[in-house]
Amino acid sequence: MAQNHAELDRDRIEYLDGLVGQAGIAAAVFTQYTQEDVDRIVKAIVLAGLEQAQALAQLAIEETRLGLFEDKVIKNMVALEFVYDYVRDKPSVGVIREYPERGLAEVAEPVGVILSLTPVTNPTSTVLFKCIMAIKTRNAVVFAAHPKAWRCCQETVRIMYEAAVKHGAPEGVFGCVEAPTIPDNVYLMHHPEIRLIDATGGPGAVKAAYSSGKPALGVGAGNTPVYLEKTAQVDMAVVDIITSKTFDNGTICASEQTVVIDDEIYDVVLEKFAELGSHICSEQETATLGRVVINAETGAMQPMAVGQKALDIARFCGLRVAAETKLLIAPIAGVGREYPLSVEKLFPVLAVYRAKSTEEALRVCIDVNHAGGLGHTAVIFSRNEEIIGQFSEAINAGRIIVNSPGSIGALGGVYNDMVPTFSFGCGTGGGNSTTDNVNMYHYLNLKRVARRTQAHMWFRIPNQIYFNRNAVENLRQFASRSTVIVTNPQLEQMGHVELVRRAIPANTPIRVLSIPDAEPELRVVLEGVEALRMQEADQIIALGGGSVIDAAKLMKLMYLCPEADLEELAAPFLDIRKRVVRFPAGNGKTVRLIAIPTTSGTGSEVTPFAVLIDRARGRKVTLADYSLSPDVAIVDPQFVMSMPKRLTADTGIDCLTHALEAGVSIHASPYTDTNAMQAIRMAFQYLPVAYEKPMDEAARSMMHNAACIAAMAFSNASVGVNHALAHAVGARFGISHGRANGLMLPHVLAYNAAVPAKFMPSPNQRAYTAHKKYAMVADLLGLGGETIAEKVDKLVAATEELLERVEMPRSIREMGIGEEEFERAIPELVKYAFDDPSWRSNPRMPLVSELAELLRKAYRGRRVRETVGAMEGARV
Amino acid sequence: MTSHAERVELDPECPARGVREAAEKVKGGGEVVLEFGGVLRMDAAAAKALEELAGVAEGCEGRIVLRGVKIGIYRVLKQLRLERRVTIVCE
Ligand SMILES: [Fe+2]
Repeated sequence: MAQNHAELDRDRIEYLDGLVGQAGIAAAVFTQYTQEDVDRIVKAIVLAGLEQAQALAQLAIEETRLGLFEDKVIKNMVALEFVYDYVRDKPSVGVIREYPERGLAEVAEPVGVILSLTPVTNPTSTVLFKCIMAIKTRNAVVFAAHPKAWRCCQETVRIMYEAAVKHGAPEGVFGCVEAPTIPDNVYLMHHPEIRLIDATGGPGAVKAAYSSGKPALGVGAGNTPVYLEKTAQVDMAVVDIITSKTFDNGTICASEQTVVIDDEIYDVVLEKFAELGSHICSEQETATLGRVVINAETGAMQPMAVGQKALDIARFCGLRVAAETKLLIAPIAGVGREYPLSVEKLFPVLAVYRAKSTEEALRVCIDVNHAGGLGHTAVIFSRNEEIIGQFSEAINAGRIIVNSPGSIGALGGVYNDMVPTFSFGCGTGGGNSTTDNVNMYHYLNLKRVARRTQAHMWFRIPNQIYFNRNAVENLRQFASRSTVIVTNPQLEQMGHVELVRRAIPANTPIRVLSIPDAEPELRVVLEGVEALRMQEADQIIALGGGSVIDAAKLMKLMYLCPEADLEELAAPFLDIRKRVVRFPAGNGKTVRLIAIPTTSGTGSEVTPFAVLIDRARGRKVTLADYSLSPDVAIVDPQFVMSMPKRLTADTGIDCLTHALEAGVSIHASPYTDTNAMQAIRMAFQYLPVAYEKPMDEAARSMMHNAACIAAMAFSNASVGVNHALAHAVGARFGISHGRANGLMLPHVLAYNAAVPAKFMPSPNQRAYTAHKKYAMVADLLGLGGETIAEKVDKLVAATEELLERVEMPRSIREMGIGEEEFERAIPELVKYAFDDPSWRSNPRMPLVSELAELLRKAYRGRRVRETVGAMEGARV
Repeated sequence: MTSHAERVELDPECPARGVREAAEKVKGGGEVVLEFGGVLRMDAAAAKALEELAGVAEGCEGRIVLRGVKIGIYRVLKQLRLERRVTIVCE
């Protein structure tokens, strides 16, 4: 029972509760019906309605005294036949739409009991339309008709109900309130069993429906402007307008109200109207008409005029018109209170306005639209597509009817392919939730069944990688009109540049651009671009560590796309496919970038990343895009033979961290796993050798390859929380990247191997596998252990031991950082790490508190392994 | 379920009849078991009768047990909030 019922007596409440109660049972029972059941019942009620279309039209005329019998018959038939034609083959039970390529399906769920308010202007047709929609969607309806049309509505409901139940519909599926009153409607609108209010009625009813707090469909008031533009087919336009405006004596709220006519055709149009049975009012007649049919106080139409014939209205106003007059045409000079006939007139009185220009015409149409018709309907007759476009843009109407009658056009299905309806959604302009022609889908809850989809993945690397000693010789195959070698002064001194120079085909113009051996800043990049321009370079050879190669990547980008905004391109992103910024496509010029690394760690020779220092803001930004990847990588160990021990250890541990993080990343794939696992194996085997015996060329070569192979993995799977923390610690305390990674590594391995406090959303992974993958690594390294936990522990131990062997610091404390200073720095470190994109591919989603704890662990340091126990017996 | 429970097998064609019968049986405050096993669809008459039966049982501290309720019918009972007024036994 609803709450708000002060004005209703107990019997009335019991009566209304009874109607809703039986509808509630019907709605529940209806949920069991199949598509075949509802389609059978829909067809039966449509046929029953068609049989009674004339009788119901007659009843409507007798009761309401509005409109025309002939047109009411047509309306009933449209409501039955056209609506049936729309719904007949559409699924409305179970899966109604499927998008297999997107893994999506939509399943229909009935809404339950609908309270339907129906209007006095289209009483029987609206009920017929709603009955079809309700049965099609397995809903029950309680109809509350307009008080001046309830008898004809009740009879319509009876005919529909009997046919429906006879063909298997649940008893109680339709009910109709006898002699409804406003308190009845208020009570029903607040009834807890009413699930949806479908209010096709006056603004008061619609507003009450929306105010009830229930989901509601409503229609707005109309005031249809028509632009009769000078390119229009006048004969067709005039006939269409007369047909529409006189249809059922103008009771359809989408019918034409004010026709704005271009000056060039105004006289011809009015002549045509007159010729076809319209009376063109004089100025005085227009004034009289305005006084009589429009309420001067409210500015609204007088109810006594609604749905009446033109002749009757003329007679009532004392106008002398010809006996065959079907439409009264009232020229007006503006829109607003001073021009009473510029409002909605649901009777055959049509205002016309002479416009001197398209601009004026559009302005007046907007004025009419805003004078009570927002969101409803507008009409344009024109053959000028540009003006039709302007009109559609300027007018706020749910239906913009082109070169056809407004009222019948808006109903849909007759003059156009809009959905047939008897309820026009008017959007927010009309205070409604939709601008749609209300249809069966508004009577359904759509359940989206979303199947797990697997995003497309990729494995992208440069298509040419040359490795082993003297791989640099492969430069000979690359013809170039002009080459710039980007390097640093130290490498020049060491003779590395000369090695490269010798391998470049003879007679190639070469310029050597030496840049500082540090992460590049914008100034350095721009200077490089200038050099490339001056040289008109078509080939860049980046010879150096990660910083030099990164600088060359950015130089190439800015050289090809001078308009590129590096600051914007560095914007953070979660998924590279959905990122906000797009890297520029370039200007068609091609420049080959060949990367020759001189350290064995970053793998920049194959990665799509480049780090840039933003001195002005004191920060470092990372750009990521596959267009940054070098075209050719030359992994020649002769360039790393002289790497200092410490750099060997730092870069080697960086390489190992890349591989271990890519191996458990949420973006890991069989393609990246292959590379990650191989790189881990090589790093464990060859890093200690390369560190302890720097001149062991085989070990150097394998570590050089390992760095490149690990980079292939993390170029596609990315890294993880270890890098995020290492970036923070490195930046704050000036610790080298590889060293900072080493300080975090054993702690992060244990962290990722544990059950996460928070899982990372990872649609490409089927389960949490980090611990299993670590165990797999342990197996690969031959570390032993029976259970997954034992194997993970062995891997952590082996990592700790490797760190010992390459003399990595054991703790942040050991780096000379005081405990108090470190504790104070933790919030800032955590913030830095949490801002870092690296962790977003980590298998475990880090909580801020966990990041702090990992930092504290790294401060205290790893376990010290005095013996080489864990590594013993390793089969690597 | 007690051993004194009365058992009513519902007619799949007209489940309402059996439900109405049950109203007589539960009046003394006992337990009635409605066998829904053969019923594929609940019609409005049966739903209404079941609402009334639940009311009768509540008035005399009787107990209504439904057995073999298909999922579609369970949904109907749930929508009518009848499931809380009876005991539904899963097979
Ligand atoms: Fe790294």
